[in-house]
This record gives sequence, structure tokens and C-alpha cells, in this order.
Amino acid sequence: MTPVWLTDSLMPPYKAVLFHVSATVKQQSCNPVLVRYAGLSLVSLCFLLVAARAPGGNVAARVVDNLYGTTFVSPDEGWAVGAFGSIYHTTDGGKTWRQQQSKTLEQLFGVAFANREVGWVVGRTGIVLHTRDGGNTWKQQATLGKHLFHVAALDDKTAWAVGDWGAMVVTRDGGRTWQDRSFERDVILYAQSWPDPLHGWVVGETGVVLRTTDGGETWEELDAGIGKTLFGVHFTDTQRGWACGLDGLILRTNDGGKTWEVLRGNPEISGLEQVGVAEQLENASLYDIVVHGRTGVAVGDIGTIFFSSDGGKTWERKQVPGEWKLGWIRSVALVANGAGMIVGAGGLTVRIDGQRLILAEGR
Amino acid sequence: MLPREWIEGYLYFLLRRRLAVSLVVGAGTLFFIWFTATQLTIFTSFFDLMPPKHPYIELYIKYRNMFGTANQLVMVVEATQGTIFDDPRIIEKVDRITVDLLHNVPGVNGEQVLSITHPKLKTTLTSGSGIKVVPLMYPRLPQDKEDMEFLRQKVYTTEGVRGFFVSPDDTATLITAGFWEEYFDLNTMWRRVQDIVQREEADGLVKIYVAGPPVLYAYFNEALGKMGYVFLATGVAIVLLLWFYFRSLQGVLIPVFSGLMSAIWGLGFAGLCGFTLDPLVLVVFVLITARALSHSVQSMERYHDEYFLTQNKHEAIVRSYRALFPPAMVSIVADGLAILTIAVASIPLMQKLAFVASFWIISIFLSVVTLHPIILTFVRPPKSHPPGRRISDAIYEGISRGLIAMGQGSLRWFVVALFAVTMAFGVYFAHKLKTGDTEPGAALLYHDHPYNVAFRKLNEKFVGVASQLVIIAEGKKPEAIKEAKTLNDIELFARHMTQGEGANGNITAATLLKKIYRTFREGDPKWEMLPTRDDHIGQLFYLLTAGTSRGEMDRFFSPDYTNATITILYRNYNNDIIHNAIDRAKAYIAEHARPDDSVRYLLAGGLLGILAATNEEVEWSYRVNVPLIFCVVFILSFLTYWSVLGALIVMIPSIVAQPLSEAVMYLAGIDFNINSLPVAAVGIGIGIDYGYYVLSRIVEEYEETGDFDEANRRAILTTGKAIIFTCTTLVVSVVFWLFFPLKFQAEMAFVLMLLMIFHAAGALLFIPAMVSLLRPRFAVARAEQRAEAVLLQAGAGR
Repeated sequence: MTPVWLTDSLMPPYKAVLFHVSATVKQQSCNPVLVRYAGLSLVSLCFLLVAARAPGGNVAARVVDNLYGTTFVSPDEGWAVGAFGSIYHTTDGGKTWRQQQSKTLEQLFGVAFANREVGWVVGRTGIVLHTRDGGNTWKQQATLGKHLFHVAALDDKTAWAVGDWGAMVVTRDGGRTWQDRSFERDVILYAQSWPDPLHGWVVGETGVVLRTTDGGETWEELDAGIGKTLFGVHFTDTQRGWACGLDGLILRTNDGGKTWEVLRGNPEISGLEQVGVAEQLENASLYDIVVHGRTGVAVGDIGTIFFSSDGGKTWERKQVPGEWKLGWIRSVALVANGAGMIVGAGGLTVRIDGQRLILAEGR
Repeated sequence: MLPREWIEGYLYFLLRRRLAVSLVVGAGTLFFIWFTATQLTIFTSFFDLMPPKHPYIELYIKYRNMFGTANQLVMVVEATQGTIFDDPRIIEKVDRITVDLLHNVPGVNGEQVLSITHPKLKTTLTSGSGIKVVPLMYPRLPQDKEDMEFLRQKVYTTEGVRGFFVSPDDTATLITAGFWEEYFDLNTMWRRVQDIVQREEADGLVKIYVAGPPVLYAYFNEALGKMGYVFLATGVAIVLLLWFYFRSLQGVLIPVFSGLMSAIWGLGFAGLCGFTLDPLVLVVFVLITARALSHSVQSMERYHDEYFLTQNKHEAIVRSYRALFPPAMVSIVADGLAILTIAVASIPLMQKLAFVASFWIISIFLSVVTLHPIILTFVRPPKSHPPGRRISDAIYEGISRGLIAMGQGSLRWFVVALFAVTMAFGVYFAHKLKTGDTEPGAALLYHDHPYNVAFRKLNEKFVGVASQLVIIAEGKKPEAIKEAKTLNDIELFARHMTQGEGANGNITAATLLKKIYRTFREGDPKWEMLPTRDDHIGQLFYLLTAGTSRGEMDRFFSPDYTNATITILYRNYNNDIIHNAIDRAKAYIAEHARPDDSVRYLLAGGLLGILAATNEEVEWSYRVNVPLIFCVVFILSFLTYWSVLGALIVMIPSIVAQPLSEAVMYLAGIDFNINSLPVAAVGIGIGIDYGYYVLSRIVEEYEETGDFDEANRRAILTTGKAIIFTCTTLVVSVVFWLFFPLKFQAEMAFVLMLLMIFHAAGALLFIPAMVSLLRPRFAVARAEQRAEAVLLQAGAGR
């Protein structure tokens, strides 16, 4: 007979174990009080084990996989995505991270949230994941074939993703359908920026810059004046924007991308022997750039971080610990008050607090 | 028990044919002297340390050409001031050492010599206009500050160099060299390496640390020379002890002769069989020599007792050896067979040890049981003196009387309870003992030994270099690893392993291809992925191999693209990490491997794979060993006393000693590994002769007295006294190892000392107490038979 203190809310395997234990102990004519305490202890233990192992459990994860993208919806809450289908969530500004179950092992390259609940993740082979509950559950919406490197969520229905082979796709129904709006040329598109739902910019291989002023209905190709690949772009309004790319380039425009000014980096295409390793060190590629208020951050190869404290007019290299130079930093997110996050190789997550950089706990 | 007629027959044969027997034994001894002098070698053979039939070792042998040998030397060159990029002379040193290792050290595997100056380490120069793969030292060795800065930049921007060959703090660089086990010349290697270190450290620019298995064994070899001092000190101490005990030249010379003769036979047998002896297990042979002395002392003591009683040399010889023959025989055979059971382990080191040690012990039958009666016929009888006159006699008798008191009355229960508690203590801690090293290197050497200092430096500066597990992805069809799915699977497996305890990273063919793929996409990390199409993979392989020479990629995949390696790097290794890594790999293979996969995953190479194989074999063999030892001892004990109870009484100290030795090893932090297993096994079995001598004497005295307590008393006063002395001799034989520079020898000496003392305590405390409590029927029956025989004899006489 099942003891009264065993409730039906327990999971069946544990119930079976408890029942077996209690029956066995009773057969041995043990003290029923002891039996009860032993049973309760076992229940607690089982519960702790289940809680610890359950998907999305409250156990902080040790982030070791390469991270390629990050986004924050508030100074405290954000997500980071990376290799082997890894999605991490933080609610304490990146002090600790908890893993969310993506149910895929594909590399995930970009993440964007329209609000705290609705978000998209894109990745290798054009995989698109979607959540409507802040990432507690992720559903695969599409596999579009071409690698998708960046996603931007304009609202909870509309999102754009860009990627390999000039891939540009858009959903306007929360991801139920995706329209192919790919660029006609075979270039890799790496990043996009939408200061409002009508104005968007996309940058990519060989310095290609695309702009829309009608919410993506039409796109025009702009001349950035350089032939080098641009990996990151950010516009704070319809006129002011920044792009970053190969050989440490940081470009700025004040006219919606019609003209670009090289703020730093080497825009010249040099001979192999001239560029070489020295160029890589001095002008390491920059992969992402964000400006928020007066704070700007650009990140890139061999642990390179540039800060701007004058709204993106000038950029200064931040000295980082030696071990960071062994890896790359691929993505940066900034929110109000200069708070943000940078992520990179080997699960590197560093909180930005003004001009300060704070490593995540346990690293 | 052996029939009395047989024993007497053998004794009379020896005495009648003493010259012939002496000549035969002498000829045999000369034969073994020759083999000892000409054929015996003492050094560590790497292949002797591996179980050759273990699947991991078979895999290791099969794929050594691919993933390199585990017999790898690692050299850390640390700048004494600043970084290695501050002075071009430091890079010159690295280059000189690399060239020296390649060309001047015998047995080196050229494909396994790597350093930042070796052309195999490559960097990729990229720009908007193209890509070029060049050696890291391109275009030349640094000549000035500018060149050094250029090198620093290349190191910083080349994946797989910083952290692996240059420490993250830039203060040290690493040089590695693998050795073919079969062509390895330990002495020459070590001499050359020391020359290199001395030469390059001379100007004070750098400090060099050398580690890795070849260096570890070179240190053992070096310590071998210091063993002479230990042997000398042991010899002197034993001679003094013998003199203290017998106070006669023959009392010293005869036991020493027995010990030496057995040693010659044992070592000669090793030479005859072509066995090499590992320096680490020499402590076992010292103990066996001491056992020969122990048997010799027992026989001398009994002979002296009988002579003082009878004052007739020949009668004393016959009476003493008639009584000693059965316990001596059974203990020699039990010891010999017990140690032979170590041969169940398919590790050559242990098999050789088992055969040599077993033969060595069995040779005690000749050196003591056979030759002693003959020698005693040639020498003068001992000077008579009443017992108790010497101080030593007074000491021994004092101890003996204490022991007698413990074996009687209510104290008997205390003794039995003490043994039960000891058993429980042993069992409780024994199960915590794990097979393998708890800390690499530390198992064998002291914390501040140069090897451990170097190993710590290596782990401090370079993670995972010395601790690798290699898994083979063996293709089921040609070019299996050119498939995108296969490479993807390999990558997932590697990632799964890297998530395990202690793992710090992995390297596979996928790692290299991903780097190339990324490089060809202007270095964007998002492109550090595997292509999804097989033809793209093929292109990447072409790009990867186009800039390399033959053999350079063998560490990662075979030239025909059929097999690949999955190398997991660990921060460090110990028994738990190795065990968990193997379990993790096995579980993954069981869960993910499918029959239609293009590759099968095979475990395991690398240092961790070899250690896993050795640990598994050691653990298995020990678990088989112990029951086998007890079976052998039980059968012999039963045949001796023809009684299960008698066998159990004599065995119980050994049964308790087994978990106790494991508990002591666990509590003292002594690792249970290929080196300590034989010592522990020897320790369990080798103390049983005390029990045989005591129980046999009790049975013998009971025949005379018909009273167990009186029999116990007499046995302890006579045989017990000799046991106390021989126990002292055995302890002295290993005590000097406590001061030996190798931690392993000192720890093993400590364990053996404890075991010897415990065995003696078991024989002198537990056996009399048990006999007094249980009053075994076999002893009573034997006394009755003897009494009947005496009556019949008396009747016949009338």
C-alpha cells in the first residue's frame, strides 16, 4: 500500500523508487518515522537532481563554445549564441549564464529579440529558430539552405536575416513564412542595421553596402569607396552610421551611407608580402560595431576592442589581458548607460560597464 | 604434512652425498654467476610497461606512425628575464636544441620533433590579395629587435602556436621530441639532453625544464647508482644484526651465504631468460633476499637449540631439519607460487618479475633447506652457553613473555577483537584505493624533485601538451574522412569529450579544415565551420596538404584520407580523469556509432590511452591475483595441516594484511599502479611463513605437552624468538630505502615494513590466541596418533 505522504505529483520513476524503498523498509519492520524522513530526503534529493538536470534549469552553465552573436533587451537581460547550437541566457547582466535548449548542434551565428519574449536565432545551413517565451522553448522555423549570419528583429512579426550567396530573407508573420529577397550578386552579407522599420543597411563582402528606405521593398547598392569586406554595421538614425571590417577598418557616414569616412584601419588593398602578419596585428579585422549615445564599441580579431566616448567620432584601442589576444571577439551589444556585452572565442563573455570590461563569473 | 620418512630420507641423502650435492649446487651457482655477470640488464623498457594484448596498446602500436609515440620528451625553455621575444639569442637556442634533438639524439622520431623554429610549424599570411602558408620562422631566424617583433606578431596571429608552443605570458617556449621505443637508448639520450641543457643554460639567458616519460625513466636510471649505498648500508646492518643475535662467525656467514646464493640464482635466472629488470621493483628482490636470510636464521636458531639439548652435532642437524622441513618447504612453495600468480597480468614487467621472483624464492630450498644441513656438518658446533645469559636473549624473552600473556586468558579475546577491528579498518579504506596515478609524476618522485618541478612548470605554462587522449576514427572505406558527415561526427565526438572532466581542448582534422575554411573567408570566425558538401571538404583537404611535406599531417589523418585522429587535451591527468575520459568515450560510441557510419571509433592512444590500458590491466590482474594467492596458500596450508581450520588460522593474518596494505596505501597517498602492485602482492603472500613456523611449532609442542597454552608458550619462546629476530632483519633490509631519493621506493619500503611487522604480529599474537581459543582438532588428533605410535614403539621394544 502506498504511504499517504507520497503524493501523485511526483514523477513516476521516483514514485516507484520511493514505493519500493518504503515497502522494503516496512518489511524490515523499521521505525515509520525514520522511514518517512528517509523518504522525504530521497524525494528532496530526486527533486534536486531533476532540477539540476532539467533543460533550462537554474544551474549556471560554464560557457566554453565559441560565441558568435549576442543581444540584450535591458542592461541585465540578454542572450548569446554560438557553436554546436548553444544558446545562453542571462538575467544579471552576464554575471552568470544559463543554457537554453536549441535542439540543434548547428552553429548559430545571429540572435535578435523584438522584446523580452519574441526572438529569432539564425545559423549554419540557414537554420532559423524562434521563441515566443524568452527562450524557454525554441522551435525550428526553417532551414533555408544558405548560411545566415545575422538576424534583425524589427517587431514581433518582422525579422530580416542575411547571409551567404547574397541571402536576404524576411518574415512579416512572426516566422510562419519567409520570403526570399536575396541580393542578385554572389556576395556574402554579414550584417544589417535597422534604426527604424523603414530604414535598413546591409554590409558584406568586398565592401558591399545595401540600403532600403521602404522597409525592404527595394534595396539600392551604395558605394562605400573601399573594396574590403565589411563585417559589421550600425546606424543610430537614418543618417548616422558606422561600419567595420577587414584590416581594422572603421568607417563613418553622416548622410545615410552615401559617403563614408575612414576613421581608422587600412583601406588599401596591399600586396601579400607587405600586409602579412604585421598588418593582422596592427589592423586586426573588426567584426562588429555598436554606438549608443556617446559610447561606441568595436570588436574584432586577436582580442581587439576599440572604444569611443564621443559618440563614435574617435576610437581608441582598449588594452586587454594577454590571454584574450589568443582569441577573437565576434559580437557586441550595447544598451542604455553604456552597459553591454561582448562575446567571442571559447565562450568569452565580457560585460561592458561604461569603459570598464568585466569578465563573467568563473572565467 | 610431508611423511616423516621422506624428510628423513632426504636429510640422510644430503648428509651421505654431501660432497656431490655441494658440487652440483656449486656448479649451478657458477652457471648463474656467469649469466648474472654477462646477461643481466637493469633498466626500464617502455614496452615492458604496457600490456601488449590490450586493445588500446594494439591500437597504439598499429597507429604509432600516425599519432606519434607516447614516449615523448618535452622541454620548456623559459627566459630568465622578460619574454622569449626580448633577445634573438633565445630563439637561436631553441633552434639549436631542435636541430640537436633531430640529429644527435638516438631513437628520436623525426616527425615528432616540434618547436617554434621547426619548419613544420606554419603560419598563414593573408591579405585582401591572397594567402600564403609559410613556416613560422619565415623568412629567417630573428636577427634583431625588429625581427623579434615580427616573430611575436606571427606567434600572436597563428592559431595553435600561442598556448601550445609559446606560453600565454610569452616567457617560455616548448620543444617536443618523440622516441621510437625500440630504438631508444636511455643513457645516451639522457647524456645528450643534459649536455644540451648545460650548454644552453650556461649564459644565464634561459632556464630549461625537461619532462616526459623518457626523462622520468632517466631519473630512475640515475638513481640506480645510489642504490649501491642502500645495499651496502642494508648489508652492514644485517651483518651486525646477525652478529648481535648469534655472536659467532658462522651465525653471520651462513645466513649471508644463503641470501647471496639465492640472489645469484635469481639474478642469473633473469639473465638466462634475457629479462631486463626494472629499477623500480628492485625493492622486491631485496625483500626476497631478506627472506632467504630469514629462513636461514630460523634453521640456525633451531639447530642451535637442538645442539644445546643434545650436544650432538649430527643428531641436532637431523632433529632440527626434520622439524623445520615441513614449515620451511610449505612457506617457500607458498611464497614462490603466490608471487608467480602476478604473471596473470599480461604486462611484461610484471610477468618477468613474477618468474624471476618465484624462481628466486624457490631457490631458497637449495640455499637453505638443502645446503644448510651440509654446511653444518662441515663447521664446528656452536659454543654452548646457558640460555638467558646474553642481553639479547633477555630482550627477546621479555618480549616473548609479553606475547605469551596476550595469547592466554581474556586477553585472547582482545587480540581477536583487535584483528577484527584491523580487518574492518582495512576493508573500509581499501575500497577507496583507485588504480593509477593520483598525481602525474608525483607517484614516483618527491614533490621537489627536478622532474616534478619541470612537470609543474610544463602544466603552468602549457596546457594539455603532456596529457593527451587519442581516439582513432578508422575508415571502413577509402577516403572515409573526406565525407562531410564523417568529419561532422568526428567534430561532435571531440566536442563531447572536451566537455568531460579535466579536458581543455581538442584537435582533429576538422579543426584544421575549419581554420583553412575561415582563412579563405577573410578570417571571419563565423566561417570556422565545416562545409556541408563532400566536394568542398575535398577542396579544403587539398588546400591544407598542398603547403605541407610528406608526413606532416599524419598526426591528424592518414595520407589516404581513410583514418583520422581525435586528440583530446587535458590540463593534467590522474586516475579519475583517465577513467572518466575512457568511460565517456565508450558511452558516446555506444550511443552514437551506427553500422552505416563510414568510420569506427577505436580507443585509445596518447599517454592517457596507454595509462588507461595499464591501469585496466593492473586493476584486473590485482583482482585476480589476490584470490589466486589465497587459493594457493589455502591449498598448501590445508595439505600441510590437513585441516581447514588449521589452514584458516595460519592464513588469517595474510587475509587481514591484504585490505590493510591497500588501506595504508590509500591513507599514505601511495598510488596503486604497475610499480606498486607487485610489491603489494609480494607483501601479502610473503609473510605467511611466520605463521607456518609458529603453528607447526605449536602442533609439535602440543604433541609433547598435550596442553595448548603450554605449547603456545614453548613455541613463542623458541620459534617466536627467531621470528622477532627475522622480522627485525626484514625491516632492516628495507628500512634504508626510506631514505632513498625516489619517493616510490621509500613508500614501498614503508608499506613492506608495516606488512612485515603486521605478519609477525599476526603469527605471534593471533595464531596462539586462536589456537588457545579453538583448540584445533587436527593438532589433538596428531598428538593422539603420535602418542599411539610411541606406545606401539614402546610395546614393540618390550
